[in-house]
Amino acid sequence: MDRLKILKLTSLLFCLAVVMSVLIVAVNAKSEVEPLVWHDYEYFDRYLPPGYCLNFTRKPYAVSVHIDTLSPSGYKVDVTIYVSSKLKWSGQLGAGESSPTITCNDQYTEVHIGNPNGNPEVHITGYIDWVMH
Amino acid sequence: MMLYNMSRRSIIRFLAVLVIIGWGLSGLLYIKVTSLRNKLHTYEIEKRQLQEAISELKKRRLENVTIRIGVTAASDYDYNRMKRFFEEIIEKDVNEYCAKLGYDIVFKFIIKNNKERAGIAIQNLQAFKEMGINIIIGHPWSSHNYVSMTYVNENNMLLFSPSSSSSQLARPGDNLLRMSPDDMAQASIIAEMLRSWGIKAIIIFHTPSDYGIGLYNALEDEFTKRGGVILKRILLREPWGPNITSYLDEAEVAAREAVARYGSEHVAVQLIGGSEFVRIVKQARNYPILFSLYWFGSHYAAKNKAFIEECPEESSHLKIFSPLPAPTESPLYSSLNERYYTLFSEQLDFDMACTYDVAWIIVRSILEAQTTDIDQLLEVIPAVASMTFGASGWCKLNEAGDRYSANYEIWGYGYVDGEVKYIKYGLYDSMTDEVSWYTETLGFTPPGSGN
Repeated sequence: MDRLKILKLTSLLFCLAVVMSVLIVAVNAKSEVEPLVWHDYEYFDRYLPPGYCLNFTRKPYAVSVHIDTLSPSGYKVDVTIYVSSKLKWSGQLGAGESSPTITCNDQYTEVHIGNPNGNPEVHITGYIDWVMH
Repeated sequence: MMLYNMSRRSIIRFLAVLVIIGWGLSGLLYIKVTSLRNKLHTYEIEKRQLQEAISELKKRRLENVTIRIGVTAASDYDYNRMKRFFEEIIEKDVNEYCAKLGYDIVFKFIIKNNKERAGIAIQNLQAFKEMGINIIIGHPWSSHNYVSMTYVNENNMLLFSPSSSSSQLARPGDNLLRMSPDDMAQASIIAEMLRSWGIKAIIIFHTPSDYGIGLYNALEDEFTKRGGVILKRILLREPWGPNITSYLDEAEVAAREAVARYGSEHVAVQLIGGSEFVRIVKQARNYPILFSLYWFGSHYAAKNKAFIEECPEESSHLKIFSPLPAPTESPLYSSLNERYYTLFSEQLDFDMACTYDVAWIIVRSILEAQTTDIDQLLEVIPAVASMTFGASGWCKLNEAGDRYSANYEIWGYGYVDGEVKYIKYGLYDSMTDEVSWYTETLGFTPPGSGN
């Protein structure tokens, strides 16, 4: 092989090594930021008279609540998320609305969905997005 | 002289004996002193322990203290009336009572507004906790109590609600007590209401909620115990619109058979629920047999403005007799009602009468137990409540910490001066377990009345 070919081959190998290194670093970085998780969707379809509540518990990595439909229309329900007996989030959600995703770090988590006494009986559908790992 | 005559040897012997005796005596004396010192030390320890116990007991006896009790209101309207009620009636009554009995204790009630939101209800509890207040009169709404229980149990606080009634919260052993009977208690009242009217067979409409199914099951048990028959059970599911006709068709067929068998005066329609039945009531006029019967309801159908606003004529025609907890008439209720009316220009209702009673039961329990310790109060309150006949009636609690029984007024709809209004048609008396119908208001005597 002449000197030029050796030089080209060395350059090519060098470039390949650089690309491989970048890929390895990128894959490692990604796995550090996003742990391996899966979503367990717990669906609900219930009738709640005024003052009545739904209750869900697990030990997830994170959780969020999604309300798909709520009838009669225009009403909202109280959603409360406790992590390890500490109140993490509470708010009112209507049809098509979601809570923020709350990080629970595998601690005992309670989700309450309550129909306030001022409402009529409501029919509610939606799901709890339990993020597990 | 004797010593002078003794020989030196004898003297030495004598002195030696004296020394030995002296040594022995001083030894005995030392032992005695040490024993006395030990006894004294023991007595000192006992004295110190007794002094500590006395000081602990003195500390436990509430003297020269201001006890703060939290109160939560459900909404702005509730907050305004609750604030005046506590400031101008309850706090004055309670502190006058303490002064009369010579207690050096002052009770102060701090009122906060939940503003109809569960999140604010929990924030209010957190604020009370930070203020060192662990005893709360509230929350008025079941939904607020439900979401608060994790915080309340975790922080060893006490909630005593005057008006929450959800059957989901009828749980023994938690830190929630309630002065209102739980929703399922009305099964026997509805069954008695139907029996006393002379109803032998019913067609029931209910929703698939825990409340609807739970009350249906309890009513089935109570009504059949009284010899009644459930002819048809119709479960209402969404979507309401397309389903209503088929529900009513089904009910009309059942009603036709029932009327032929029992006679129309002995057949009724029973609703378990509230405003979700407005559409059913509105369309009932197209079903002649159903529309010729009397209808009955559960507490959500009593004094429900949706029936007056959306189907006044039909509601007035069907009446929809429904029970609602009510205070027991007594001199205490009458005098409190007079004072309440002066303040608010309205009658003292069951919830406010219960609020008055809850405040008194808590105060008496603290005075009798001489403590604000939550665990001890949870033991004492049921005993004090069982011996209290308050403004709302007998305040005894059941094993779940909820009101044992109450009177119920029977409300329905009817025309007054050309307008459809809420009308009181009868009363269930918890002491006699009987319903009396107001025949003058009805304009006739129900077929089963007096049986």
